[in-house]
Amino acid sequence: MALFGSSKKKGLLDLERDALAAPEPGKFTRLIEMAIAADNRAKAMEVARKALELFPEADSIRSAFQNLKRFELQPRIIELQNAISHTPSGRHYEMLAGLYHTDLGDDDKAYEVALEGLQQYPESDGLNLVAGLVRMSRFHKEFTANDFREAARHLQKAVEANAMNSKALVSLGRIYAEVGSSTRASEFLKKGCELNPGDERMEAVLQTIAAEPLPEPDTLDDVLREIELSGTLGARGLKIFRLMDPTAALPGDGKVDAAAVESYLRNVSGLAGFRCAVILRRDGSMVRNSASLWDKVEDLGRVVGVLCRESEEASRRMDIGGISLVDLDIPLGKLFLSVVGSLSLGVLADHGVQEGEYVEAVERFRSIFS
Amino acid sequence: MLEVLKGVNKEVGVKGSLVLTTDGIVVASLIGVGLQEDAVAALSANAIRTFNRELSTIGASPFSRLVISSAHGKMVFIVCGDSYLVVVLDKHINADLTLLSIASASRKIRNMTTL
Repeated sequence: MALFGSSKKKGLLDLERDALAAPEPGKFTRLIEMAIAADNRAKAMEVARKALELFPEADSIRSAFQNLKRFELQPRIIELQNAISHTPSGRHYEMLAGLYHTDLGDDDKAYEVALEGLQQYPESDGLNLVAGLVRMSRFHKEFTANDFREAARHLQKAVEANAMNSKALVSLGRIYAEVGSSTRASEFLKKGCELNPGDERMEAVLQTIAAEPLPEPDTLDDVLREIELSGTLGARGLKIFRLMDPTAALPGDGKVDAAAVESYLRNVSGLAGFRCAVILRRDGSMVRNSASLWDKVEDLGRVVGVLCRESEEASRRMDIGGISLVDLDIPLGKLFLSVVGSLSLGVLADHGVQEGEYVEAVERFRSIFS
Repeated sequence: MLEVLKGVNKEVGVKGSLVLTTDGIVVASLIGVGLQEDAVAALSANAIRTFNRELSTIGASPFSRLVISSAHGKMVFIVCGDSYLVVVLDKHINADLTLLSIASASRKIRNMTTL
């Protein structure tokens, strides 16, 4: 793949070769930025798409891709924003939220627009649908009870406002089925099937619910708490998730790849100022730690487990989603933490290290193990 | 101290700020609309206590700076003498610039509390 064709600068070609030989989110982000700087947006988009395939969870790549798409869609966005300013209507908010959600994949912005619109048009099924889908997507990434409740609340309102909104019905049925509430799931999925007869995915989910019945929980609080703590859905929930989204990845349902862990630790231990690193399972048990002369590496593992859980709890209670990076200045140096899927990471480095290198290493961890 | 917090809250992306003693007592607080002051104070106090307690077991307490970056927001804790300045931020901010302002505010608070 010649990313820059007859590019004048050898540096760009070198970076291209380097990125393709040893792909990393940071290298692709720099390539995208260089292509934009060279005013070659088509090539920047090509690189961004390729990078997104390789690293779907990398924030920097997603952000670069969204910026490129936003540039393409800017005239339409401005048109809708002007319409909202001068002649506001629920429809304009719905179109703008839908554009951010579907075309740009910018869930945060879509959610922001949907909530702003809902303040004026609380009965809009379109805005409640977008808000519900965004919170459902967050639930599938972070498994917080808040996300589930908000997704169900918005989707329920969308269905109440428009009983023919089949997407809201199916999403509501699906999310209830994933957490084991079969009665509610069946009710919404059957209505969805009536509106869209022959939908094979919905029929498969209904068959799974019927074939693998679970006792209907009195309250979802305990179920949601369990999902939050385990960081993934139960066995039947996972099956339903895969039926609905066969190609999507769900954090926490994969096995730990020992070779990838080993390779990652080898890589991070080569950074300047590195002291030691630990990788843990969600239950706090050690997967692997880097070779270290420091005799407290096992203790560090226990501390990292507690600090990751505490950070996640604080994040949940603030309703700001799952943690991507926690960085601490401590008397021993700098400590970087992260949680992705079923794994937690802790990296200890000396004071005065290049923070960017370690942040990039954490992002790489998230990309590899998401 | 409230004037310092007002200054912090004027920074782009800041949703609220407060000052807590290391044992979790609120000294001053200026939390914006949409956040519950009691809840933010309680979870901040809990985080400070838990982090320092755990870090002490490996001889690494107290922490002087903690940044929790999440999918939809950030929380920053910076030590200022016997207290911590806690700032709640949006995700979409120029973190470096805002962190500089927060560090500057923490120095002002440290000077106030040590005078």
